[in-house]
Amino acid sequence: MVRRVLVAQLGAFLASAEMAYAELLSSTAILPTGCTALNSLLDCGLYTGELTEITGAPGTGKTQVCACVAVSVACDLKQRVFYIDTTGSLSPSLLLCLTQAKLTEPSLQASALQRIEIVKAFDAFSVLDEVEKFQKRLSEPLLAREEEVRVLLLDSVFSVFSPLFGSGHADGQSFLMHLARQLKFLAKEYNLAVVVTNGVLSSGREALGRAWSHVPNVRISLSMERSGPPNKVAGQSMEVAGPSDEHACTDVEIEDDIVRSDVEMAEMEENIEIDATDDGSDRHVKKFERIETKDTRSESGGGVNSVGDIIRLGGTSAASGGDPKSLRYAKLTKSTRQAVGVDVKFYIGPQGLLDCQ
Amino acid sequence: MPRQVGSLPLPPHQRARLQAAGFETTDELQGIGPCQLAEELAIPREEAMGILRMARGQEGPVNYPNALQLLVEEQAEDGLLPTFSSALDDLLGSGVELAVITELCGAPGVGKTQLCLQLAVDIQIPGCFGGLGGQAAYLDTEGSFMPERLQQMSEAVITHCSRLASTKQERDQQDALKTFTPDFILGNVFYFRCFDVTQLIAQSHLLPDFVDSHPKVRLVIIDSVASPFRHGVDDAALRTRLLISLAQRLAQLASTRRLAVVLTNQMTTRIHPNSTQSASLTPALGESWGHAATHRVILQWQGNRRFANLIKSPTRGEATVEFTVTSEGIRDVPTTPSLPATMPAIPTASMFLSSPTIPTSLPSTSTSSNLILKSPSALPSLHMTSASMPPSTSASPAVLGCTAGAISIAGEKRMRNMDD
Repeated sequence: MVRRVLVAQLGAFLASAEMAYAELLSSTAILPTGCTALNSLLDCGLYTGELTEITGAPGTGKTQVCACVAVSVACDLKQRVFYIDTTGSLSPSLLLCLTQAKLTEPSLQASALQRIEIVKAFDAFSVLDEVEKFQKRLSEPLLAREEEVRVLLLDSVFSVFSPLFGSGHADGQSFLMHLARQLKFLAKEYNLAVVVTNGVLSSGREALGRAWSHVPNVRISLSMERSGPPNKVAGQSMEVAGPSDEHACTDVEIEDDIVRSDVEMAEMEENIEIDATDDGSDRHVKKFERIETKDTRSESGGGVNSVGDIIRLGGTSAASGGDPKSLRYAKLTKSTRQAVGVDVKFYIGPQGLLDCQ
Repeated sequence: MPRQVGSLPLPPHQRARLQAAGFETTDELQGIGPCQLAEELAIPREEAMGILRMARGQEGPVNYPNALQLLVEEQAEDGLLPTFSSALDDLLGSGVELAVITELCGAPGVGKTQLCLQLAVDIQIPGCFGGLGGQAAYLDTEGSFMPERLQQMSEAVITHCSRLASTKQERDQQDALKTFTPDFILGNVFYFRCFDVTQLIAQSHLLPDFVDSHPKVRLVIIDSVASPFRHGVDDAALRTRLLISLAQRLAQLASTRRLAVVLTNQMTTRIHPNSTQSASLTPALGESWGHAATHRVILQWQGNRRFANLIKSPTRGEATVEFTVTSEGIRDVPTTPSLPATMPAIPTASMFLSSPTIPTSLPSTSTSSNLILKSPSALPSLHMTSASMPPSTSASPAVLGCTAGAISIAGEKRMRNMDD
């Protein structure tokens, strides 16, 4: 008798792949990022239940991509966003500007901004605390909540966890794995899309080591030039020996090349709009939904006519004189659904992420 | 999922004992008292109480600010930190931004310390002139701080403000000018001299308490971050760890108390064996440090001219502007017809955030209904007058030196009194 109770409580539950797939269909949603180039890279958008990582050298626009995702979810999908900022770089004025590019009415803009919750945590333990508090909050009954939190953004995990690595702290890795476990649990259990930002070392590798590199389900790498063959020569810049340098390994890109079958494609193309006034207690979205958003913003800025001033960014010497936006390249470096190594171009501007026409 | 005991910020020996005693999650620590825990783990009672306190965590629901509330708080900030060069201010977006870290990189002599000194004066501009009326904390690691130069710059700023006051004839401006003297300005710069890495890191730990006891401090300058770390730390991994934790402490200080933090960095050479360009200048301290600052500006020479290049910013686009260093401080390049036609056009990046068409009517649930982005009206007025001012009549030599006499010595004494 005791044995049966123990097995029921603690044993693993056997399920068939068909059940798993049905559960996936019933509980996953795809969140478009607001930029078709990135959406196509991510296989239509950010998947809930997964951890997506955005890496890149400083200045390539990771914070901006996170801000654009937050605004896109808050404005277009009318879902809530939880943003953990560890660098202090998230500026509310940036969010306002991006919101104004999408919505024209002040009351809508204000309610969109109210859906983005921002928490500042500047060291690893605060981040762990905040994630735990967030989880407690989610596990409480959602009585008065009209909108659900759909995205958790953490910008950036590198700046808070890298001081914990090294000879003095033997357990820095374990704290990082605690966080990884918490984030994945949150993603799966509460149907969130978790987005995490990471940095790069001078050799071009992602920071935080090999153990962390297995944690995210999808990884995008941003850069300012089209990526050529991996540049392993660090040259003379005095650089970091992160934990990855202790392993003598080469840059291995994960080359999962899973090609989708036609059947899957047809199923995934179901176009059912999510009901924005969803009852809060009903957490599971009914079908495999692709949430339609407004069209890609053309470069002339479709919805920005209320802003009379011309917002111009000074171009770099590489850009032409009249080009107001900064060009970025994004590359998919890890995915279980898409082919890796694909490069897409997009622009980062004050109106958000724009596609190249 | 309950929190694992291993993820709590405990010393390793306590964690090891907890796990040896069989405690895996914080749930298991809920029903136990401190004496019982102390017995089981064989640790003193105080330590057990500390563990339990940490495991219990925060009770009750937590409310986080949303973006709208943060925006309103940001708008409520009255005043800017200008650099006195309108081109530089435009580059950074209405002056140096508060609550974030700005990094200035450059080769020797290009003007990093000059810009830091200018900012130490500019932070003190009274509110009626559009400034913040605050104090500055200056952490010097290279010994390049010059009180005489600070005095020179402050005199120029005072002259400028008096001109503004005389044209506008406002009561509060006249009153403010009575106390806005060079002595006052020098006395509001708190100077810390850090000779090595240990002192710098120690000082960064002490800064939050210092800022709490001196609530008028709105600017922290570290000049420079690079020199103690490049010469004082041999192990590269240790250096990166120390740098990143320093950056996080500064970011926390900046964000929680809404200060501007300005850091100075040096340049190093990066060699590209695989490309046509064999070597290029890049900011020192490595790639990981590049993630620390929110805004990064590279100051560089081109011939005899100084340019500032914004290479990293989440809110501003990349741009390059020209500036100059005069006896009065950092200023714009004077646009006279005698300049050659080949001078590159300075991109006048208009305000990133448009001022007029901002939602003025908001739902009444928001705490403040005023969401008009501040149009820095004071800022253009400062610069318009400076452009129309004739160049400084007194071409005084750069160093006042001993001729300043009592004033600069008194200023130094006051600063040393504030030394930590």
